[in-house]
Amino acid sequence: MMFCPLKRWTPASAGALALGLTMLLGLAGCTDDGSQDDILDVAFQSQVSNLDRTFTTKREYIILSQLIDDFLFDVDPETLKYEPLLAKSYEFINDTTLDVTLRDGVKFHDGSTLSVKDVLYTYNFVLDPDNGARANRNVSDWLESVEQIGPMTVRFHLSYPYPLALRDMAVTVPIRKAGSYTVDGELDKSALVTRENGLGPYEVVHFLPGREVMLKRFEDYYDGSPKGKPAIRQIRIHTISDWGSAQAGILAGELDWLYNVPGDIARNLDASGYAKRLVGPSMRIGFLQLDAAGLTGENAPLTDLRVRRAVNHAINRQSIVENLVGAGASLIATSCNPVQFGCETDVQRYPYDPRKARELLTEAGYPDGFPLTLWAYRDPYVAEAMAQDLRDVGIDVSLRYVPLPVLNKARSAGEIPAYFGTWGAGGTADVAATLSVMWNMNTDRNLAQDPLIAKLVASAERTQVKETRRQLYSRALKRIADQAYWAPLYVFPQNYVVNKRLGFPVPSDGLPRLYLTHWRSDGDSTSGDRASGGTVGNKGGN
Amino acid sequence: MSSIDNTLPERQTSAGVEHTESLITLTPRQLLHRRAFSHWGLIIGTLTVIALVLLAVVGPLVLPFDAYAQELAGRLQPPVWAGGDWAHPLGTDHLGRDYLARLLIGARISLTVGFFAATLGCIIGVTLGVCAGYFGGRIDQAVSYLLTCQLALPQILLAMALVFLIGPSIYVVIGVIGVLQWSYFLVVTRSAVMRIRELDYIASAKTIGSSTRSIFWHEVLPNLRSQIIVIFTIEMGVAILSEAALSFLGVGIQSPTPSWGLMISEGRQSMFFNPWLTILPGIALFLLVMGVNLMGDGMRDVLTPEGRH
Amino acid sequence: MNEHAPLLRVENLSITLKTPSGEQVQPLRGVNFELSRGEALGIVGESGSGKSMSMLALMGLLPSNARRDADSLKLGDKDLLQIEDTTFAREIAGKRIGMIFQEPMTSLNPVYTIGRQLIETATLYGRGTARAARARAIELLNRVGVPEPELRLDQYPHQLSGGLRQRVMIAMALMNEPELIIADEPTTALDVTIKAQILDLLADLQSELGMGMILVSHDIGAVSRAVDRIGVMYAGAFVEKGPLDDVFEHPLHPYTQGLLQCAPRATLAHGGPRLGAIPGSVPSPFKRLTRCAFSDRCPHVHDACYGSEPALRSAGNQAYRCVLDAEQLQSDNDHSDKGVVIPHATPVQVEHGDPPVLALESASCVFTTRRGLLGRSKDNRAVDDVSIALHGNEILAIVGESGSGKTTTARMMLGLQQPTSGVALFRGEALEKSTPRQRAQLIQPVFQDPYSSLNPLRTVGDSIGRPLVVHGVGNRASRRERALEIMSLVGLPERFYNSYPNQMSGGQRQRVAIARALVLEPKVLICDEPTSALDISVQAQILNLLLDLRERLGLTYLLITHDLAVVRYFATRVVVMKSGQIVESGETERVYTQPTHPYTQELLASISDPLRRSA
Repeated sequence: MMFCPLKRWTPASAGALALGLTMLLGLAGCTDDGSQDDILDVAFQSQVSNLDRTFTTKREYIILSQLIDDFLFDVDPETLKYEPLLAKSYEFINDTTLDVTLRDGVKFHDGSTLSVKDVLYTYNFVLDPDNGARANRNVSDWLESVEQIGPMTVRFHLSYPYPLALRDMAVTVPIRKAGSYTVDGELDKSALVTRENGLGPYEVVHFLPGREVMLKRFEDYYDGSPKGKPAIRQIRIHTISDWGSAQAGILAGELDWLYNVPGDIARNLDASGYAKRLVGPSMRIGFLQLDAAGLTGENAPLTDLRVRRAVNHAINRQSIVENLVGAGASLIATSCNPVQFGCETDVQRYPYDPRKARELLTEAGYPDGFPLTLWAYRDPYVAEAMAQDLRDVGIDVSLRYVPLPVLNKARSAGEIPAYFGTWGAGGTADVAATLSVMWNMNTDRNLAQDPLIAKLVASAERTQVKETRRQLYSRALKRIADQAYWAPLYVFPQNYVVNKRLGFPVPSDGLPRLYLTHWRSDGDSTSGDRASGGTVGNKGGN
Repeated sequence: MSSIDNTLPERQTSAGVEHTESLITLTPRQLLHRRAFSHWGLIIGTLTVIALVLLAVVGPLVLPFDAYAQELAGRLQPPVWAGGDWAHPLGTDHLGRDYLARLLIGARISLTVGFFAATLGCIIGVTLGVCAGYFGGRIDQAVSYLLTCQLALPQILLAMALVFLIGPSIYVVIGVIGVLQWSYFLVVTRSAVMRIRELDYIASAKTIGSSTRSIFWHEVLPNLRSQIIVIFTIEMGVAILSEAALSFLGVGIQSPTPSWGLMISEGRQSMFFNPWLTILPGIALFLLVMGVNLMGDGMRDVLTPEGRH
Repeated sequence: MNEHAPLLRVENLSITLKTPSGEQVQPLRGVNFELSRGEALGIVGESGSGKSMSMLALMGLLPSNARRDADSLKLGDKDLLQIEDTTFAREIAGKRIGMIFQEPMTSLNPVYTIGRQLIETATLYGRGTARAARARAIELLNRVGVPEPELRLDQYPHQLSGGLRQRVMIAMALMNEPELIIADEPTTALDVTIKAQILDLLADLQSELGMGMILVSHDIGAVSRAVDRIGVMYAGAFVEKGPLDDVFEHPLHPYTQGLLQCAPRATLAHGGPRLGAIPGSVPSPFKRLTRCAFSDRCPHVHDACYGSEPALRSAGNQAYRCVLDAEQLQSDNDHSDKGVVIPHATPVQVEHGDPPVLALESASCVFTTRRGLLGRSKDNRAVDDVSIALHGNEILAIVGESGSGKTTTARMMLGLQQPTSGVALFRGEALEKSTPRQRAQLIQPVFQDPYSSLNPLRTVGDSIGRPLVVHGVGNRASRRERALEIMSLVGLPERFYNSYPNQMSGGQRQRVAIARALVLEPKVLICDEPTSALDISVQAQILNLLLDLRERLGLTYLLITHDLAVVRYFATRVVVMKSGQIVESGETERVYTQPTHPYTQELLASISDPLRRSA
């Protein structure tokens, strides 16, 4: 068929030979470090094909955007609080009015100076639904209008007291120069896809969509920025989707920084002595979502509470976290990250009990189990382990491992009875970022379609009073656990593997800020100095 | 006629009576045996394949390991020669499943898929080949056109697409590989039948009154036996590799079923530090396919030597 | 160089071979002969006699597992035994010895032009310049009778007919003015008329150029047309040697005698004595012999014959290998020729009043070939408006050369080919109306090639019984009985029932084919060249067998052949075909003695009868 039928030396044997050679070469070619060229070579798993954060949401774009864009506010990587960035100061006149004063002397990469005009243009662009800005979904909900009230002051009018206004502004709306999306008098949404004109500490020198982004430190970045001034002059972002190649790269010294590294690989690379593993927390949680609403069929097994509880009892979370996910992960019994504000941890628990699971299944009328297609888009080992756990209690699981867009499509078509999902909440330390997205009645992410929870969650976003919010969220999360709509699993650690001579402060929210990297001369990358002073310790061990 | 005396010449009739001295020539079967047992490649290949078949069939029944039992605490154990222990002689995979057991079940998969896919291709190819070679004319032209189309298809891409559309299962994999793999059968069968068609015993069969179907079954196909067996073994090797390739790419056998291709793919991530995860199934594939290829080549030398007719 | 020294001297040439079972056998044993300059020697023998092998041994063309031994092998005064292969290739092969092979189709390289191949022979190893070679090539092509030689030089072998190709081969052999020409079956693959021309050409050239010639053939008639001396080989050794006339008039060795009696003669009237037969068959060359090779078939066998292989004895100009004396053998032969009553070949009268059993009426068969799907089509009229009637109990022969359409005619009468126009009739009814099964019980074929007419995977018993299986007659036991019955009818011993075709000789296989044809008790047997692939002695057996069967079973035969001698012996009526049309038909004797059509006359003129010279 595909191979010459008369070849004796089969591709398999040739492959084995090549494999051996590659290993030899890979290990032999390990040079010490790449810091001599002062370029920080980082690798993303997923492609970068669009430089404009206005239209993207992927994690990789968020990381990139941190480098080339500035927002009105910023999340402090240690305290997770919202600090003014482009804003010099801000004030809530009342619950629904926010005044923001801009800094002076802030320059765009093309040399022009930031003014109120730019801020107005940006937010008006986002507010217009026809423009399709990603932030529109969040922002148009709560922001009514913006207006200039002083030479460097902007007033935001909120439609209701939205507690996460600063968060949305800090995470979803990069400031664009006025008129960026009008080319030759016409609206052009792709104006900034391959060329950027941001305000961030780095600018793009050249861009090969899908392959490589080359960044250079922006020398006119304004003083006094909370981000500081970067120590490393150039950053090159590669796209390497295959972990084998990524490992080869870091071992050979061609790459200096990897993130999202699977636990096994991170451990092995660290043990090899050629690179250093750093573990940090993240905001991301993993869970199984179950079709409680019967979207895949009226009498789907998972519509029965006992079946959902059985699923919860069947998974050996402890073993998975200990053996597969590794250091830095922590179990959760509730459907949010305990670090987030409003995350109620005192909820119904379902300890690992396969016998109980079988009992529940029999009670529900499935003594011999039932066929179930479990979908997953990441962490195949974990998915497989869970699939096997379910098989062990009699559920005939077939695992469908697909890329995320495929899974999203199937889910919106109502084809998914259960899937292994994750949610990073945009790195936001507020449960709203998770619950509002997952539990409102209009999203296809809501496989439970529980109107009570939706109401609770919506209400919690209409007030700024913390205590009220906390109570509302508590009720919602308890109900979620009671109803076993999810099988909450664990908080993802974030594994970074870096050049031994690289200093990189591990962030508390799992969002790497590459502008904080610097080369160490003492080979100790665990102490991450900020260029502008202050120290940060990493929050995970090895 | 007078009685026949085997030793003396018969003189009464001028039509003569046949008699000869003892014959040295062997029956076709005896000739075959003699040739077969002196051909090294054939012997080695056949023994390898038989050994692997035995391992595949008997191994999982005899060994105490379960290919599906995951034991997360004991994952990525090395094999005995790299520091592991005899509880898992070939180590464990990323979910703690015993690798030896998985290799053996994988052997079953490879052999099953290889055999049945080759059979499917054989049925399609031989049927088309016999029809095209025997009837010639329009039928031959149509079949030749079909063959050209099939050869022009990008096989792996088509296989991937089909499996993806229909859904991966072992039956689909067998079907897809078989349906894309009949060209060699067709070509050889067709030219052999075109040659046989001209021989007088076919004409004789027609004058006896045999139906066309009877001629195919009793006259044509038995004389193609040797060629078909040879091609079958070769194509089986190809089918095994095709299945491994599809499983490697994720569009063949799905986990948790162990297929060697899938095992190689799963081990890719840990390749640098746990190389045996990819090397072992690679070696297994190599041995099986080489055995099958040696067997096929050996059979070709033995069954269809030059100038047989 | 001594003028009177022989051109070629071979003493005690033997070949030893290793068989697959590990034995060592000698397919050629102790061959001696001499050839003087300008002399032509014919070597005659059947399959397994070693005649071709001896020539290959001479030229050093034996397979690698064969070993050649000889006391002496001299060409002029050059010792061929001592010479290196490369020297042989450079100085002897193609230069002093020219060789002509049997198959002109395969001995000429199809991808090079005639001219190039001819010229190459003369320019290899710096033998001569290309220009001189070209001139000589044209001269020789003229001499051998190839028209338009300059044109031919640029043509490829496939553009020439068989006869022309063989002429080119002869020219090629002559390019370097060799002293000796060896021709191995040079005319076997050619049509009758061409055969005669080529043999005459060889004879002329040989005497004109004063070369020595060795002509090897199984066709006694052909050989006798072109040589002076003849040697008869049997089972790897010469059994008789001598001047042509002497050997043919007074054959001494029983084998030679038998052979001459076996050969049908086109000059003998139809209805004469039966062909002689040599019972038994040619021994396999793999057998090692410790007795006279011919003893198992010899009519004069004594105990002495089983002791050891007799030596060659001379009697006048002849030499023969037998323990008996020449006079004794001579008289025996004369005796057996006269006096003993041998049944006549066939009854000459045949009723013509009855309607024909099998007939073709104005049948034509046109084959259309088309180049590709859309090319122009070409019509080939293989058979053109032919009407033939086959009456009960007669033997009708259709004679013609290749391309005459005789085979297609036979196929139409068998029902294997539909006439494109006209009709084939059996007992007055259209043949195509009957099913193949019905036809099978009436008409059966006997084909030319006994090996390809038997399924190699079937035993003899299965092959013979197969028609019964197809027609659903009887059960296994009754079929076996019937098969054995038929086998004895055709003279096959019972023990062959479980043998395979590849274990049997050509004659035996043909008997199997005949047995299979008879199993359904047909009325008509259509025999397409049934004996052309067989040795002469075996041919005689088969022909006589067919005659016997016709008497016993009341069969009617249609015989397709190109062999005029066989026709005159065997057939009661003759039809001559040329280019798809019938040019002459009538009773055998009438056609042979008073041919009316020029083509028939041409055919008859090309007959060579070895014994005609003496009769």
